Amino acid sequence: MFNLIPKSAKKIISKDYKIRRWVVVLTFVIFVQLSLMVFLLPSLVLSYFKDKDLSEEVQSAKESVLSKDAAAISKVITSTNTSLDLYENLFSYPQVVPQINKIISYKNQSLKFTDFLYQSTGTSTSLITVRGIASTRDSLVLLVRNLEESGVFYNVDLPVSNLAKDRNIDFSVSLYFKE
Amino acid sequence: MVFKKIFDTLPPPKLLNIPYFAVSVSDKNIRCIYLSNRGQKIELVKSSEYSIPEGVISGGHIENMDEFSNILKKIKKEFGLNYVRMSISEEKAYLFKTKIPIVKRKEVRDAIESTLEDNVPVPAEELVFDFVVNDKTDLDDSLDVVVVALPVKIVDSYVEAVSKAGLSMISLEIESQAISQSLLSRNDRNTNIIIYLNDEKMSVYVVNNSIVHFTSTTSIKGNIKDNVPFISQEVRKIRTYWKSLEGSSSEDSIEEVIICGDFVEEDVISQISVNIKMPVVLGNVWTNVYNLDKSVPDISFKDSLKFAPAIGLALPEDLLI
Repeated sequence: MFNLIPKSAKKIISKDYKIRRWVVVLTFVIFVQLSLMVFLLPSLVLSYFKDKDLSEEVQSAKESVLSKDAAAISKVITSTNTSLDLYENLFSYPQVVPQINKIISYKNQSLKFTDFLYQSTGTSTSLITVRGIASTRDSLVLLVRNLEESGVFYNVDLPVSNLAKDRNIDFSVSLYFKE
Repeated sequence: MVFKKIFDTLPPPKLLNIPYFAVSVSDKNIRCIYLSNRGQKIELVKSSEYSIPEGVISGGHIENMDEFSNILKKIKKEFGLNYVRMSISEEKAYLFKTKIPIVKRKEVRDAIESTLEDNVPVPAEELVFDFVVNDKTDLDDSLDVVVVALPVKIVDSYVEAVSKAGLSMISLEIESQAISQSLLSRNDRNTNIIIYLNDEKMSVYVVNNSIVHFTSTTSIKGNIKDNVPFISQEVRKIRTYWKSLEGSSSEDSIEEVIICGDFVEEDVISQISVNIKMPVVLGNVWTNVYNLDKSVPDISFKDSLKFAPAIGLALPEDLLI
């Protein structure tokens, strides 16, 4: 069909049509938004009431007797943990079992160990005193020699008085070692 | 085709269908039609006729702008719509068929513009024109186009009058094309002659392939019955002219003569038919609106003949602009 309106009039109609198209698009977008809101409304209401319930539960938990004691218990636990940490640091000591094992490895039938005494002599040095009875002087001398040669102890001290007797000798050997 | 099915099933929102009414303007009257388009169903909502006082429009030229605007204002108020499609008589229009070289679609307008001065006795810059490319072109080296041109002054005066009345003009068309749209079915590929009688004027159009190719408007005085010999003679002349046109083939031979407009009577039709030795029929302006065997519009058949241009304009189109 022929249309003889001038370009300017056509542009006006075209513009008007574009506006209508935008109105339709925007209406559609708003409709979608509103639909989403409507569909989300039940979830929103549900979450609101859940939140409210939880808040009430938290509040009632705070107000309960158990909760009041919980604070004191928590304080005791914290204090105990702190003390344990402190003790752990204070009572740290070198591992002596390997040294004792070494000493025991040199024991023979002529020797009888009665006491093992551990002493911390410094920040990195310790002393083990071994007491016992040696049936012969030679076995005691052999023990001292073996301990000296083991390289585990930097000093092995056997009082000379322990060698005065020939048999059934009560001995006390001091063994110094580094951690 | 696929898109048509989709749009038929899911029609676009009403807001995108700009509601408009159709107005056919002649020197003595304005006829208005409002058709509603509900999906596939088109219905007549309102029709009315207004007389134009003498001296307001003369020969298609607006002589009294204020008076014409006031009439349009009144129509706007009655119809309650803001958009209008208007047709005017082709007395001031130039309609011609021409050939242009095959060019790109966007260059067709420029190609036609260059041929305007050969076909119209008015400078191209003083014209507003539109065209239709005839898809029955046989030659490969040219395009057949039918062009309608109107002086800018005439177009501007109608646009101004419509604007003054607070209306927006969607389209301005010539009466002949609007009439052919109402009388012929959309897929009509035949060649027909249409006679439109209105305001003591007789317009004869040759419509081929649903496009008006030729128009002729002459004054008639007195009773239509008295003018039967003159009408017959005019039709014969135009038929001879059409046959003589270069390129018109047997496919383009005129099938029938269709009459519509004011004061059309059955016996006039039979007399003309006898005179020109061709089938002459009374037009059915509801061809593309109603199946008259199934439903009847709220307007008599005789009265509807006067509304042929307005009904043709009011029919929905796929593309408005």
